[in-house]
Amino acid sequence: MRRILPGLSAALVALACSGEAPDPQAKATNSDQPPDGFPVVVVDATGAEHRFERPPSKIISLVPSATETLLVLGVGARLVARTDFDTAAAVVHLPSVGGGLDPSLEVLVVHEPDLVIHFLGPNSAGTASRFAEFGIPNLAIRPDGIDDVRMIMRLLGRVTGKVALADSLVGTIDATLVHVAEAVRGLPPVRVAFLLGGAAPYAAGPGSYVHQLLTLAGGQNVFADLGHLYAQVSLESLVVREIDFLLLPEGAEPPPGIDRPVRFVPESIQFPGPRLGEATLALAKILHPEAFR
Amino acid sequence: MSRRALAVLLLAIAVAGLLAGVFLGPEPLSWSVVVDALLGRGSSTLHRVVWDIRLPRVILALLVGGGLAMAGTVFQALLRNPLAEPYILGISGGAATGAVSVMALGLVSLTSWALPAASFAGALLAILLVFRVASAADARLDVGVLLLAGVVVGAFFVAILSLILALSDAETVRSAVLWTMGSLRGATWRTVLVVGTYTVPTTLALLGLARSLNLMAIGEETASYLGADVERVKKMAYGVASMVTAAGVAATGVIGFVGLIVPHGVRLLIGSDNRALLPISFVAGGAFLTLADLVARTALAPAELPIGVITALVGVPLFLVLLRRMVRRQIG
Amino acid sequence: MASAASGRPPEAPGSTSRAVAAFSTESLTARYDATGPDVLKNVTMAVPAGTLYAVLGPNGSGKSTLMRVLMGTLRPIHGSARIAGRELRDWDRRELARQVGAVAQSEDQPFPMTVRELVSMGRYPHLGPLRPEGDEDRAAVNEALERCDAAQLSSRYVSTLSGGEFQRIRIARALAQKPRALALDEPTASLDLRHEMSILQLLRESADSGLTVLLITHHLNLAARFADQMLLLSEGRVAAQGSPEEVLREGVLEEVYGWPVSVRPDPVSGAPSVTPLG
Repeated sequence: MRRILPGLSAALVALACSGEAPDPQAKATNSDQPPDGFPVVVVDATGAEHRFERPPSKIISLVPSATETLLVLGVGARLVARTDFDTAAAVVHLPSVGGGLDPSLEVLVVHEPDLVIHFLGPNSAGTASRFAEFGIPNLAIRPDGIDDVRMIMRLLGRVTGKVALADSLVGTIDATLVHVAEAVRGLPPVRVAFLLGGAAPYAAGPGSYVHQLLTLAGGQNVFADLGHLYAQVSLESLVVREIDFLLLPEGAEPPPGIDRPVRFVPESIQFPGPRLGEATLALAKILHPEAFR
Repeated sequence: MSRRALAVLLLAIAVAGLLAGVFLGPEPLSWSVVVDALLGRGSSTLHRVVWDIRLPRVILALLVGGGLAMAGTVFQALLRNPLAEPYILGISGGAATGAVSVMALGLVSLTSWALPAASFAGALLAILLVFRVASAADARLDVGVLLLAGVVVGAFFVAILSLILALSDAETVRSAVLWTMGSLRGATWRTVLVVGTYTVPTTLALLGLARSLNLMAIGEETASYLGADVERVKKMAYGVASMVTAAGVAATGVIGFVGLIVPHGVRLLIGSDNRALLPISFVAGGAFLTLADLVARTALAPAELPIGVITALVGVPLFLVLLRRMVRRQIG
Repeated sequence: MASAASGRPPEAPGSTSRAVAAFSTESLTARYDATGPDVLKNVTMAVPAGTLYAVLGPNGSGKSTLMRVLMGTLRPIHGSARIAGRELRDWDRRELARQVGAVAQSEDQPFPMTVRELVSMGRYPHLGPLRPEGDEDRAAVNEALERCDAAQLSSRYVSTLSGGEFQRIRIARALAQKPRALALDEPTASLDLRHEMSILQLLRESADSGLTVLLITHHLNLAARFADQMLLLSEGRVAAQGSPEEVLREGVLEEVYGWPVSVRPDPVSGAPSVTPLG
């Protein structure tokens, strides 16, 4: 069981990425009849309803984790552009529209997308109103936590007509999370701080995705008292607080002069997307290697 | 260079910049495609790219650049300070605080009007505060007191801004930083209309004050001895220049250097007579910002550079060349 | 209208006493700050039209304040100030600038400007904010530059002028206003002998040609030589006014300036000449 789950997830991904041909729903898009399950009506993160008569065929995702999900759902061929932050082999050949938060509207419009997935952020109303102005169907998403990851996968599954695949993807992730929870149950929590590195380190606070993963993986965030997603913490508190490990993204510099054991964790633990299960498992193995021996 | 020749040259540059802004962009379109789109032929997508993305953007650049350059000229004359620029009385701090407040409160996601409205309100609040403080100290709006009040009010808003940012998450900080570096990406026909309604009448009003502003530049006592109604000119000119700046900031964020460098550049070429300086600065500022925006959106296309980076990188060397020329002429 | 100190009626040479004074005040009290001290106290004075009138007094005696009240930039809190017999509050600023050309003690020069541009500003009261300059305006500017012996400077940048040249073109600007009177606040301060003399001669000629000239100065002896009438202020009050002989008296000057002086007729000009002792 312990070995099977991640393997299964990898197999699913491989299957999904191999193309759309094996998917019977894709054929339906060629006829005038709406494909099975369509039209669909979905609600995005702004609370707005969006109706899709048929699965979109020219998609631009401005959110890298959603791009990853779309690839896993096997609709990578429907992507017509990417952002500068999408560097996966499956999309890197696509033309870029610039940044995810500040894409070039002109380049985006020229691709004539029939779906744009964008980030609901502090300055997204302007972006969304431009899409509306140009009549481009768009969905705002806000992947903050684990629940959002599940919701966004199901949302993207419904919109692209890949409901079953999305459900099984969520199921795989949930199974992995259950597996991790069972493995670390009863073990004393490891006291950790996740830092972004550097001389003035930012630590993950209680509202962050990393915090949720840490908790699931049998860790205890020593900065659970921070009021925000991420905040700068003093070097003093790193010295004074009882910390078993400092966790840093691979390649980051530990804060100077802080004599604490450091563990490097995969960057995927910061990005709320389809690698949620794997990332939690990897984190649990770092925090509690004894549980996975 | 004669005033007329310079005015014609700058107008030509502005028109060329306008055309370049329409014909060039991050998406390479051939000139015949653009002409077709302008004439309403060709695909509807390209028509929209040209009519609804490129055109409002170049026109907004023209209006905002012109407005900032003119406001800078006015502030320099009123404050009798060559270092004065449109943001000197705390407008940028107020506008940024307004903008970042609504970002941090999440209100920006409600409507596309929240951000410009909040930054405009912040700018107005800063202006009112500065004038209340300055007029409490001296009813005649002493230049020194006004400058000091502007610096202090600006610093206060920057402190509030920093506090909000310190309590905000990384996305808000990133959005705030992008906003404070300025961008014309938000240009729509609606923003053009709004900024135009502020900029065009105020430009005409300032042109009417040009000769009075000439007198103001040599001192208020002398200006009133020469027949200027100093208090009225001051109130009108400060008010109007502040409104133009606030409208520009609300539409595009804080774009630096245009309001400082363009007035000086034009002054070095044609002298300090505001009757010529104001209109020529308007055209020069508009042309400058249109070209800077063209660079901002094509240099690293499809990514966009913050326009403030371009205005400084291009504007400063250009200005230094002019300054050297002028210093030689005045000494030699 | 009788002056407080001398009791002598102000009479311009060659005119009659019914002529309206160019500048006059009556029981004038003024302060800068509503709650501050009085800078001028109960000042009554009159400048007969067509005379060169010197205002004298130690530093802080209220000379510049008197000029500001007379030019309408400072409202008196008590008493009245008149120009050509009309209360200052009844003057429109541009109308006033057509009546009086004033040169303040100092002015700013933050931006490069040519002499002609600066002198042309003197046409503002005639043109207002909008009307373009016409032949008449250009003629007035040329004439003013000629009179101040500054025509050759007209295309120079103001920043390249010497102190004396700068003061001359400021006076030219006041003359370009085509006023009936001039008011000048220490126009010869920090100038050398030749430039000082040339400006005083210019003012004397202006008065002789019919302009009224109100001159604030520290130079007792030059004032004695060039002025028709003078006013001596001390701590905001009128210490003396009248002809140079009436004002420049040893007792009065010693009290006002707090320094022993001797007053003798100048061997060359015959005007009273003040020599500080000690």
